[in-house]
Amino acid sequence: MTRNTNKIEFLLLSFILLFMLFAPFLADQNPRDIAPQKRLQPPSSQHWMGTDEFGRDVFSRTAHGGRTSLLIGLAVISITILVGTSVGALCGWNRSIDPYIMRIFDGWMAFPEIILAISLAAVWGAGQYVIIFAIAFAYTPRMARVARGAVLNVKSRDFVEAVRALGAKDLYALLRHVLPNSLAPVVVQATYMFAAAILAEAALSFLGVGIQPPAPSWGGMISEARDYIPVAPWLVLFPGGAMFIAVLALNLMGDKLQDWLDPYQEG
Amino acid sequence: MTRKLTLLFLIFLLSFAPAAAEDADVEWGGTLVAANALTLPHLDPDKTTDSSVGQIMWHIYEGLFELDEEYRPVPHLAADYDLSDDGTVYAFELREDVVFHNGESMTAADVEASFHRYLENNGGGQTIAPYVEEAYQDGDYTFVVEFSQPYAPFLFFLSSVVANQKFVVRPAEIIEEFGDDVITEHVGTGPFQFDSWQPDQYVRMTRFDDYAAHSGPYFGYSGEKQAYVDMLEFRIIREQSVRTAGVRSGEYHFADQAPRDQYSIFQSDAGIEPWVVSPYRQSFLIVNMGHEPFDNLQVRRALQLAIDPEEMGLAVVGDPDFWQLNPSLFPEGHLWHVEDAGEDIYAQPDPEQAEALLAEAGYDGKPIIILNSREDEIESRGALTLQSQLEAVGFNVEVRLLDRATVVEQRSREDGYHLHFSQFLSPDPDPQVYQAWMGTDKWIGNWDDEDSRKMDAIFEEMLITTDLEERYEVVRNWQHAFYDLVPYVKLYDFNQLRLTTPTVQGYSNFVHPTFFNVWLAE
Amino acid sequence: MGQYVLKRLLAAIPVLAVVAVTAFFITNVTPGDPVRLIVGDFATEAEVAQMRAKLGLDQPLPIRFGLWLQRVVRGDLGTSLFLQMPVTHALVQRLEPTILLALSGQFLGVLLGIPLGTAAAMHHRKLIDAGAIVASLAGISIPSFLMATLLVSVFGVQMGWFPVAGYRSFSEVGFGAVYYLVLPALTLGLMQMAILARMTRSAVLEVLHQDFVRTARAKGVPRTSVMLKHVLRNAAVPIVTVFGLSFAALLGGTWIVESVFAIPGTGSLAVTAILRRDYPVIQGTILFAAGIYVFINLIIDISYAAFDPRLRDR
Repeated sequence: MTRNTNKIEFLLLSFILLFMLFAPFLADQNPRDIAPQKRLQPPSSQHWMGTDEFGRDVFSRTAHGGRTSLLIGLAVISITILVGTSVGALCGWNRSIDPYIMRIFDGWMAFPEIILAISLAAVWGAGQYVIIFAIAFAYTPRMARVARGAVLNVKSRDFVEAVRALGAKDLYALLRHVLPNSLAPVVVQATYMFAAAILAEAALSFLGVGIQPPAPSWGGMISEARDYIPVAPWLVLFPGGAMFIAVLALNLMGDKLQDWLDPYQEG
Repeated sequence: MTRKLTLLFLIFLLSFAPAAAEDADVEWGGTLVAANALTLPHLDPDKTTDSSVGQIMWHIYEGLFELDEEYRPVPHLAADYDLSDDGTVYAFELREDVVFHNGESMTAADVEASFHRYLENNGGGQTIAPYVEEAYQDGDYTFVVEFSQPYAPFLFFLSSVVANQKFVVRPAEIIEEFGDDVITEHVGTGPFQFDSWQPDQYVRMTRFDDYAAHSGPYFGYSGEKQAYVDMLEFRIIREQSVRTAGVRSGEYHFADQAPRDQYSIFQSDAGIEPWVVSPYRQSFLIVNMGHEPFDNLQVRRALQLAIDPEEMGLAVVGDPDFWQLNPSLFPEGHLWHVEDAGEDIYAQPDPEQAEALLAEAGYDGKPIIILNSREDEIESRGALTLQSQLEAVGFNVEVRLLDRATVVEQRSREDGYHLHFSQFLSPDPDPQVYQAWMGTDKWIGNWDDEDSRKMDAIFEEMLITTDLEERYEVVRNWQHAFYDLVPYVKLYDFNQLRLTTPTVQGYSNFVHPTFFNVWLAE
Repeated sequence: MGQYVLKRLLAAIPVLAVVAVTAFFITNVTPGDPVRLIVGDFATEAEVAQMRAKLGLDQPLPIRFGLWLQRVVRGDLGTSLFLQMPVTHALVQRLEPTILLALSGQFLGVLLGIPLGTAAAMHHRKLIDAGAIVASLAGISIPSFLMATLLVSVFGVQMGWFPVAGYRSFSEVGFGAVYYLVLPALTLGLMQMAILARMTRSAVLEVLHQDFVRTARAKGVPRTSVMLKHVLRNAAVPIVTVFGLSFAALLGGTWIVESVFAIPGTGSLAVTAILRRDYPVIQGTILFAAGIYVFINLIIDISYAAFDPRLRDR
């Protein structure tokens, strides 16, 4: 069974990656080209996933939209890991600055990403950078808290005390022993956030502050498609299915990574 | 000939309609729940031009005049009126049987107080105000308005269903208490009386048992109205799919703004009664003429030639049953419809000529900003379709679809946008209404040149021309000037889809959803 | 312990002060104009100016800030521009639906998530593990608004078991209120289930592999007893963290669900306030949310100390 689940995740993930890399080339139709005469057509040999309310090719939009959505997820976790983990780890390690920074994060978390998305969109235009920044902003304190909790947990274990008793420098101990051993929760959190960021983009689209149309993104497509479910179910099925597979694969992958990173599970 | 016969037949039917309804199977009682997607800032129609407030509150408040079936003003709270020979003094005889929801009778004092507040606060009133010399009561049931010059659209403004311009009567005490502040205590004369409002949730109203009905034929807000249901609840449901689902499951009796693309599904569903509202609204492209490049008439003509309203209707509204090409600014069959408006140019896209005009005008390729909110699909989809049409002739286009609060701020700035989609009610009562929207420095157009003053002159002439036939000629000139000067671009007329459950009886499908003479058959 | 709590409570004051100031400025520099939304599309500039003055929004920003601060210190969050009521009143009114929704969502999440996660860890790398994981993930693999729409069309329209939207309070309709809560709570619960199951699983796994558990098992202590005595107790710290955080996120994340189901909670209050720039309400909800986060994190830290005595004195 282990082999099989490994295979499933691998297959799903490679499907997503291949789709993301190559589908835009396969989809030779421009995702923005409108053709009202062909609106709301079901899947056919000409349009593999049908057409939307503007007569645009859904396959092409799903392919290009996937790039946008996955890019957003990737960028968000890169930022949160970098900022969140360093700050969180520092807090967990250095108890004198900890209370201050944690209290700042308490307040920080109260700012909803939607207001940031609106503010920035009006200044920079509602592009993907705005969305990335707004979501990363909202997720950073959560990542920091997880990292801090993990560091605290590892720090209190016997081997760290032993290393320190042996005279290891603080920073050395943090980098060499504590951080790697605290990584598992961070990785789990990061995969969860990758998936969550893809969903957050959808939520922002639902609230009308997502990626600027006509640029495609999965969230934007699903949000627009929900009023067409009875007449054109393919509009929600394909981007929704792609998102479902991507989120599922990412989450499953995170679990594998955790097993792989956690030195206590193999020994 | 056939039209005349049909009309006669209709009149024949109408004369029986109220009596027939009364005798037949009318059922009293029950609560009617109407699901709407409205955002109400407050409930005082005089303090906002947002038509959602009027739609709801005109079940409670009534006008001195209301519009009849042909969109002509007819006396409602007034019994009759008299216009002096020079066309400047209106003397209104008031009905003596009208009772406010607080139990007091309506007199000329209430009308006078309401009218002064109307002139100072209501958008329609403010348009009239500069021409009003005096407005006063003359005895208990006569109210007089004196103008400084003949003012042709007066009664149309009083009964307008556009942008809350209608003049409604409230008790003088209420006016005194609130003055220019937003009124929060709602006492009207309508068949329904105010019950409660939970912002963003619902507005509830109940039947007013002492309502004194008018005896004329019912249409929209005019004539004989009756509340059959005990309670009318307007529930605010933003999600289109939930409104639709609610009618399907029977929780709501009515849903506004249903998905047009599902029309055929609704038609074959026995549990749903679909209603197509036509005429409903017309889609316009508003042009910012305050700066480059659209301060240049030639570029505006290029714009007109680049646009294909037919493709736009198809992409934006979809089903051709739900939109019509119509060059006139009034729907077919309307008093002010002009058949030959824009006959050489409307819906005759010519990309090549547009490109040539653009080059000639020296358009420098600076990006054109189309600014709209995402919430309204007619506007946001219009923007995306327009982008592809304009890019095809060489315009460089940037679409900005933002949230409404940002849009209303940005478009009020002179350099905040170039093009903006808007929609006006199709059955406008009077062309003069457009004076507030186009002309020198009107609304958001930032138009100020020789051409804008030509437009002003036409509106001034329209204002003082009281003879109907003469005025029609002025209106005709205006609609031709509209195509010569291109302050806006008219796109198409479109319809709306509403749903009711089959239990809803007597629903008349006016341009606003009204629930007079409506009962629930359970 | 008592001193620790007191210290933490005092520390919250400067945090809230900073949040208040930031909230005011972020809210007010965000583009968009509430006045134009109130007076409508076709209002003249004179009407706009008149309404702006009436609402006091014509004053320069520093003066408005001063006035607002004066009031906030006295516990008055101002009056909504749209709701015709004080912000504190609106918050109190909108709190009940959100708390009930979040609690019932979290309840369903815990009910489904913790057993799934524990089962997955106990049967690590077996069929049950994989099955439990995939099942738990279904709920967060599609956007919540889509999940809500699907639940409505199946259980609201097709089956007709539950209302399609809306909210009734217990004081109004008694137990019938549950009826209105089921679909929105299920939407939230399915999301919570995934998060709780996965964190439970990884926390339990981590503890399972620590020396003292292995020692206990090597000594022949029965499996269930090991589970209860050592594993869950030691896994409790991260589980509690996630529980608390996810609950806090839930309180702030009921937005979408409240918007779809037209539930008059704090989430939909915040969303509509932001979309129409109801400044006092936005500032109020941010301040309020900050208070909730501070409070929940305090609870988390106290339970850390309770579960893991080694963390207590630091």
